[in-house]
Amino acid sequence: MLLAVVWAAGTLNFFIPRLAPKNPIAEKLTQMAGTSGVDPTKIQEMSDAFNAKFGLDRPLWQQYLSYLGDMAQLDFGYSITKYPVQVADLIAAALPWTLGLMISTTLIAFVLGTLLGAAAGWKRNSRTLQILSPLIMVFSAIPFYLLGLVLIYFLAAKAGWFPISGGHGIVSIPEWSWEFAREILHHAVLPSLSIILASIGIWAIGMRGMIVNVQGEDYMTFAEAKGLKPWRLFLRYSMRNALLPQATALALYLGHIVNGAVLVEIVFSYPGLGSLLLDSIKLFDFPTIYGIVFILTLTVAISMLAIDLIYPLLDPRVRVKGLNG
Amino acid sequence: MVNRRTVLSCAAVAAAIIFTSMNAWSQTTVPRNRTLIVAANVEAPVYRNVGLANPYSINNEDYRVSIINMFEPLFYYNSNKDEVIPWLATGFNYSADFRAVTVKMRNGPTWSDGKPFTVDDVIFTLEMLIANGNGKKDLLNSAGLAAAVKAVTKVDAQTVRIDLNQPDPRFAFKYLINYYDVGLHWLPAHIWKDAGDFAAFRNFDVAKGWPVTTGPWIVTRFTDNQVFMDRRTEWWAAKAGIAPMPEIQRVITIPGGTRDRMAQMIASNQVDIVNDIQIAEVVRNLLTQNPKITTFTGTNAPYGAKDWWPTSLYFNHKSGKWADVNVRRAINHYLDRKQLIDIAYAGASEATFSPFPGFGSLKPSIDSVKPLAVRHGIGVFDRARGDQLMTVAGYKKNAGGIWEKDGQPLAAVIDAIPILNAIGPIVAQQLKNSGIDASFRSTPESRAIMRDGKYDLTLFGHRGSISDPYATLEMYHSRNAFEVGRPTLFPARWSNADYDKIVDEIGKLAPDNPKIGGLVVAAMDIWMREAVEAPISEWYHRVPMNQTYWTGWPTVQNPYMQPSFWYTSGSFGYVLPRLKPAN
Repeated sequence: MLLAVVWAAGTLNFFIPRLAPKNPIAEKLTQMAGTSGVDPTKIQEMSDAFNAKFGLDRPLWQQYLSYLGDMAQLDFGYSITKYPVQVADLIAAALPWTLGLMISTTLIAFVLGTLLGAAAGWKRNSRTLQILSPLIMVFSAIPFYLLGLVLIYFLAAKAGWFPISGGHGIVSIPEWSWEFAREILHHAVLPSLSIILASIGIWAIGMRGMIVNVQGEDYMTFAEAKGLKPWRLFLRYSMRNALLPQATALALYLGHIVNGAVLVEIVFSYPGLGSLLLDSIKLFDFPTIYGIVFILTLTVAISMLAIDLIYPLLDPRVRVKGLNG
Repeated sequence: MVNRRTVLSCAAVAAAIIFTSMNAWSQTTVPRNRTLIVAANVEAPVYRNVGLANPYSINNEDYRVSIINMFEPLFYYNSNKDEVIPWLATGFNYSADFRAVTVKMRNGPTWSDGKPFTVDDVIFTLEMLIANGNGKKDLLNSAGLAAAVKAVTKVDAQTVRIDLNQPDPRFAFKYLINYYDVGLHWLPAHIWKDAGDFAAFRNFDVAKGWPVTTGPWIVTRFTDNQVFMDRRTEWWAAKAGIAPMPEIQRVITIPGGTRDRMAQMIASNQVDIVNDIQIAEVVRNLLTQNPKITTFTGTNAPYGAKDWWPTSLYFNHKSGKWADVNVRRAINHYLDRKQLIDIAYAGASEATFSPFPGFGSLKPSIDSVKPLAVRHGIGVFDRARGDQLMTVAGYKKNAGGIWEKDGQPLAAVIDAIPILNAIGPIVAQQLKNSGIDASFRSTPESRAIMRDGKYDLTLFGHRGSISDPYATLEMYHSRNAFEVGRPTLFPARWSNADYDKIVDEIGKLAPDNPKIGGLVVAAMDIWMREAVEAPISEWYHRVPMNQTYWTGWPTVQNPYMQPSFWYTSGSFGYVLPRLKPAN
């Protein structure tokens, strides 16, 4: 099933960018002809030479077969618009930043949002939660990048507490030292905060709704009637049951972290995968688009497989049903 | 038996080894007041072509805002003074029939690896490009060079002779003299001869000291966020006494990101120079906010240096819509350039009436065609005259105030690349106010629409002449009037046989031939009479330069070179040794 999903997504990945009547070589040469040694009248000739070099002059079906073979070996080849840089190198350079920023902030937002939503659903008469919840809902309606701009204005430009942009200082040289680690964290505060603040509410809303639903279930009434302690009811009965849809949503969300962060990366000049994908789409750099989307496809497919495997641990009913069935 | 203590001990030892070794790799730091920091506008938030230092790769965007300035030309050209500055070579001569150029090399230049720069390196570079232009065609400059050059011959240890396929009195200005985005970069034959596939050769290896150039710098770091060029201990030009040894110890070039980010960085003294900010109002604010910031024209408008890219409104001459010259002339009259410059550039530019940029060397040509412009109404705002011409062309205004002919209202979409977004809507509105149903469109597609000749009207610049008028005139030759669909960045696609004959005649004459003046007037008489396009304004590079750490930037008072560091000629390499520390 996993292979079928990856093949289907990979096939769409190949054909969809080709629907646009664009040639990446011509696009790149046009861009370069504006400012460098490409003769403005020789774009066609150079374009033909590079089309042959990248095999773009071959029939589409031949290119598709080559593509399938390359993807099966995880060989993404050369980037067209960044030749002779390999797509794998581009992804390897961008991935740590995306993982560092997006995975950590997504998990932090997931944990905080889930706990907050659970608490808000459980203790509906708490004054603190009544104030906090709407505030967080408001933040969740604001896009990451807009929140980022507001944070830059107040906390970086006005207060000067944080740097305006970048992954580390302009002149600093990356090294294994506490000082540099502190600098990286300092630069990561505003982009992280913009993502966490904007997404925490999404998780909280979902979890709150699930907790309210679960509270109406018969087994909750039965557990309460048995005289179980409230914390046990909350953790073992209410949260555990409400967590399942959240976990599924998290797995699907992992597939969105790249495109979701494009504008954050641009606003903060953060060197992640999102802006790499955007650049590649703008110039129709097919190998780079294929490489990144293929990685995303694999990420989502494997995440879903992992969730399927983890589900029985979270919910014994799934395991029992499976055994009985 | 492996227990918890053993695992923790091993982990601690491994961490210590990694930590120590990584610190051992780390580079020395250079004081801020001996470091020049450049923020460059590249295509992405970070460098994408990390480790690519091949001057002839088509994907050299990151290289050409940084490392390119390490490469030295045979000759620099300063358009501010119309001055050719001999560098790796001392001079050149054309044969009487302009079928050959003989170049005399300087004695003494050395590569950064200590080997002498020789005539063999020049021959290798030329022959490599010519072979590529005749074969693979995957290197920059190769196609043009292959078409132009018949043979390259070593005359003696200091002299090379370049035989041309056609007489060309401008060959040196096309390839041997570096200015703006023109000129070649010379390669060390002892390294490049083993490169294999030249287009795939990165020319970068810090351990080997690559790229090897003749400039006073060596690349010590190239990541997605930084390019470090450190000063070498020796430089042939300083020894020869033709340039001072740079006082800058390290040049760091970083991706500048958006223009507002670059403005913030220079305002807060984090960087010393940034790309063209373009918006005059923003530059004026920077000058007010931070008195250490200056521009080529100091604190005075236009806050920058003139570029070779004057802007025009182009008609698509392959479209029947603009076939009637009266309509083209009317549109010329409908453009109020002063209003346009006041609104879009806060008054900080100048209107143009010809396609030539207003450099001093072109002033005689510009002055000579001014009476023609007045006679033909090019660059003259006169709505009433425009209305007369539209009437002559058979148009009448409909109930909506739009010019109409045979029941068809005259509508047009103006396409432009984003850099011209400031003027596009104003041009569209001015045409609308005059009865043409114009709208402005700037999308990621706009460049391709213009390139393929599928536009109605387009706004674009020129990149033609700098030292003599031929390059701009040649853009309008019929050989460049491609059919719709064939890509070119000469948007006019206009043709006129009489004009071609005159331009061909100019092409055979040396730039200083006195006959050229009269021929330029004759060619431009046709160009103006035909209202080939509607010239609008000069283009300025508004480059803020910070004097907190470095002084001696090029200015109108001391115009020793253009301040733009991103020109592919590498001309900023001439500026770097001339900057002085502020303290």
